Amino acid sequence: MIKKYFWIFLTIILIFAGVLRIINLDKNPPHLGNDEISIAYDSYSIRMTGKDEYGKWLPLSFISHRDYKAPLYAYLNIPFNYIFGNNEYGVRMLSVVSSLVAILILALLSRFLGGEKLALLAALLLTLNPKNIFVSRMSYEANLASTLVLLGVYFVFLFREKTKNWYLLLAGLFMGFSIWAYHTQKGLVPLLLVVLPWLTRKEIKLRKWWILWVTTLLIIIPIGWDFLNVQMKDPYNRASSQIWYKSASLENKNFLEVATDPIYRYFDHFSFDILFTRGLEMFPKNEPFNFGWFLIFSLPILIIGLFNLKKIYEKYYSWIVMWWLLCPIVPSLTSGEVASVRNLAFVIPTILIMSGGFLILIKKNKIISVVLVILILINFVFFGAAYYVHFPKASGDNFQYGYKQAWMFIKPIVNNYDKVVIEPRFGINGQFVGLPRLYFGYFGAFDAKAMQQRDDKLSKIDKYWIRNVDWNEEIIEPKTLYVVSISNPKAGNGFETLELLTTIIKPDNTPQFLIYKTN
Amino acid sequence: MTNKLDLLKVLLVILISPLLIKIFNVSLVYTLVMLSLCCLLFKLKNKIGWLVFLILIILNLQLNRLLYIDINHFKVSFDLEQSFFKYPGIGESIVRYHQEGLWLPYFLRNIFYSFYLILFSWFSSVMKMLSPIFWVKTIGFSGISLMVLGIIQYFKKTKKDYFVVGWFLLIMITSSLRVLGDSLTSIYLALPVIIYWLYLGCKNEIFRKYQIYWYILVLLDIFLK
Repeated sequence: MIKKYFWIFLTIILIFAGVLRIINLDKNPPHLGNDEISIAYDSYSIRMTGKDEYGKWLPLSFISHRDYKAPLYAYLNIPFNYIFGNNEYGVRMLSVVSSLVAILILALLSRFLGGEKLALLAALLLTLNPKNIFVSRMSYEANLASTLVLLGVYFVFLFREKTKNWYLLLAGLFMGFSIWAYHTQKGLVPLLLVVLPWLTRKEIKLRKWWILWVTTLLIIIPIGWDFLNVQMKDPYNRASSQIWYKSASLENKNFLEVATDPIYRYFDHFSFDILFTRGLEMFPKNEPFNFGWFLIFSLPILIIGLFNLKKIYEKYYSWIVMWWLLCPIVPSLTSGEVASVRNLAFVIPTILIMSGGFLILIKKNKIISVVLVILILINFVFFGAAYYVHFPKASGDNFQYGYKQAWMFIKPIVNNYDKVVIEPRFGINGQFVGLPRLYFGYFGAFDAKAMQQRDDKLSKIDKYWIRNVDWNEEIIEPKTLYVVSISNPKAGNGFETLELLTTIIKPDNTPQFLIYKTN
Repeated sequence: MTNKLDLLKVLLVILISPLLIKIFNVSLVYTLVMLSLCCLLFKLKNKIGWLVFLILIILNLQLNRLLYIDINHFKVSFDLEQSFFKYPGIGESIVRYHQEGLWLPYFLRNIFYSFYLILFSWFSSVMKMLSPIFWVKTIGFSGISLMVLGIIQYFKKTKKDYFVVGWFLLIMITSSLRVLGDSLTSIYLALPVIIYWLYLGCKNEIFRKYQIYWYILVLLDIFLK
C-alpha cells in the first residue's frame, strides 16, 4: 500500500510541513533578526537598483555587518520580495521553500536507498525536526545551503548507482551553488567532494569524477575571486576574525591548547544536551522549555540506526557515516556558539540515520515502535507549545523587536514632520545596538538610492537620523519625531517640551521604545 | 601478563586524568564505602542490590552536597535551592508558561504547565553528563576512546552484569540533580564502573589492533594536562 500511495502520503507530509513552517510566519519569530533584515534589505535594494545598500553593483558578497554574506539567498529572494512585498513573508518564504525542497529530496534519496517506507519515515522526521522548523522560519542562508548540499549529495548517490555523467554535472552545480549560499560550505563541499569518491575508489575510478570536480570549480571561481580580492582585503572583515584561534577564550593559552581546541569543539557538536535537550537556545539556560536540535525520543532510533547502518544502507553506509562525521568539521574551526546554524548540514544525515533506525525497530518490534511514535508525537506537542506559543513572547530583544512596530506607528504621520531621530540602542538598559536604518528602509520601502547615498558620518538618510539621544545636549527642533529606547532617561533640558505619542510594547508586555513629538 | 598490562593501561589513564587529584581530595570515607558497596554488590548481586543502590544514592547526594545527614542529632536535610526542584528561575518560568499558555483550556493548562516540567531541565543536565565532550574533559582523549571500546565490549558480552549499567546511571541521574555541580565530584562514585569499562576496553580487538594510536592520545593528554 505504501508503495502504491507513496506520492499521496508524501504530498500529505509536505502539506503538513508547509503548515508548520508558514503558520504565523510574520509573528514568529516576533521580528526580523539582525541578519534577516540585512538580507531582506539587500534583496530589496538589488531588485530596485541592481545595487546593495552600500551601492555595490550586483555584489558577489554582501558587506552587511562586515561579515560579507554569501550572495545567493539575497538574489534568489528577489522574486519572493516582488510577490510578497517588504514584509516578513518577502524574506522568509525562500527559507520555507528551501526546507520543503529538502524534505522532498530527502524522501527521494531515502527511497533510492531503502524504499518507500524509509522515504516516508525520513520525510516525517525532518518535518517534525525542531531545528529544521526553527531555521526554516527565518531567512537563514545556511538553510538554503544545506538544501543545496543535499541536492548535490543526492545526485552523487545516483551517479554511483547509474554512472551517468549528467548526474555528476547536476551534483557539481548544486554543490558549487551551495558555496554561493553560505560560508561553511566553502569547507564542507571540498571535503565531501574528496572523501566520497575516495571511499569508492575501488568501485569507481577516481578519474571518472572529473565532471563533478570541474563543474564545482567553475561555479565557485567568481566566489573565490571575490573572497581573495574583496573580502580578504578588508581589514575589518568579521568572517576572518571568527576563526577559532582568534577567539578571546584562547588568549594566554599555549600552542597545544589552541591547536586542540577544535577537537573539543568537534566533540561538542555531538553533545547529547545540545542535540536533544537545549541546542535550540530558545530560552535562557536551565528553563524547562529548552529543546534540542532533535526530539528527545528520537535518540533511541539514532542509536539503533548507528548500530545497524551497514544493514540498512549496505554499500552506501560508509558515505552516510562520512557525510555525518564531516559536517561538524568546519564549524569546529570557528569561534562562537556550538549550537549555531553553521552546522545545519548535520541535520540531514542524522535524520537519514534515525529513519534507518526507525525502520529496523518497526521490523523487529511493532509494539515498541508504536510506543515510540506516541512518545515522539507527545514530545512534538511540547516543542510546539514552547516554539509557537512561548518563544515569540520571550525573544523580543533577540530579534530587535520594536523597529518595525515603531515604523508602522509613525508611517501615517511621518509626512507631517521634518526630522525623525531614531535611537539604535534598545533593551531595558540600552545594552543592545540595532539597525534601525535597515528596518525603516525595508518596511518603509525607502528609496534605495537615498540609502546608498546616505551620510554615514551623520548616520542620516533623508530626514531620518540614526543616533542616541542625550536630552541635555539635544537641540530640540520643531516638527521632529523621536523614537528612543526605554532606557533613555526621561529627564533633561527641554525634555518637558516633548509630547509622548506612544510606547512600543514587546510581546512579553514590557516596553521597548518611546515615541515623542515636538510641536 | 596481558591482564597486568591492561591494568597498567587503566592506571595510566587514571594517572593522567583530572580524576586523580579528586581521589585525594575526596574524604577517604566515601572511597571506602564506595569500594565496600562495590564488593557487596559483586558478591551478593540480586540479593541486596536494592539496598546497595539506596546507600549509593544517599552517598552520592551527600558527596554532591545536596543531602546533609547529621547522625549525632538525627537530622537530615536536602538542599532544594541547589537542586532543580527549587533552583531560582525554573519555578518562575513554569508560572510564566502557565500565564502565557492560553491556547489550552484552564484545567488542561494546570496539568500541562505544572511542577513536572522541572524534569525537562534535570533531564538536560543528565544528557550533558552523558555527552562525549563531558568525558573527554574528565578522563581525556585516551580515556574516552578506551571507555567507548569498553562499553562496546561490555554489550557484546553474552552474560552481562546489568548492575554495572545500573550503578553508572544512578550516579549520573543523582549527580545531575545539582544545578551547578563540579563535574569531577559528580562522577567520582562511578569510578569503579569507569575503571571496569576502561579495563574491558583494553580487551577490545580494535584496541589491540590500533594500540599504537592510543599511546599518541595518551601523549596528547599528558601535554594538555
